[in-house]
Amino acid sequence: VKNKLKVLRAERNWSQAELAERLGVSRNSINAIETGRYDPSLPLAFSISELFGMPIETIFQRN
Amino acid sequence: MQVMTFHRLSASALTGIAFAGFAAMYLVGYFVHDWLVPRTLVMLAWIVIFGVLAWLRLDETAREAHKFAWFYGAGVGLMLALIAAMLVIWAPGSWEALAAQVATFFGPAVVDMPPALAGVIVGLMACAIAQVIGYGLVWCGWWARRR
Repeated sequence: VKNKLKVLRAERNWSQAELAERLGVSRNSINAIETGRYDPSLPLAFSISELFGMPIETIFQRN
Repeated sequence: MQVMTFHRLSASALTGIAFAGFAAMYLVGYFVHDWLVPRTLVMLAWIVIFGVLAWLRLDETAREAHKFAWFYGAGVGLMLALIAAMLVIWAPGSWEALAAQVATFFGPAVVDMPPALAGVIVGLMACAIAQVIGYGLVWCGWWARRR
């Protein structure tokens, strides 16, 4: 699964650490998700979706 | 105030406390041979309590790394330990010196036990050590691939 997390984060001038704090996860987790090396669980994907105010399918797409 | 400070401890700090306490109690046990069973129970309770507290503070990625490492790392480690056990059965003589060396690692309490009993302890501990090594290697590999 690919995602637009890095772009969305950059648009808001958030660091990985800042995004991690807003989502209640570690910076390592954000890095792993952004680089596509870890697919988040559905609850975390929903949290990301709510934080950016976008549908999940806009942020995450199948490869 | 103390409770608030404790709640702020990260998963890493709690894991450190778990292992530091366990190691300290193990070292004490190496020299003090009394109360073996109660001391062992305290060690296990210590590591379980702090291990659970650390687990509750981990996020899903960190938990995934631990679950993956447990299944593949510790699982393969245990299989390798069982293969080693078969090799011991196949050629027992060649392993006696190594077993004696391993027994010294667990302290005089094990060395002074009857050989059969010491063998059981060493075998069980060897399985645990093999699992921990496998677990650690796979855990490091999991994170290395996702950095």
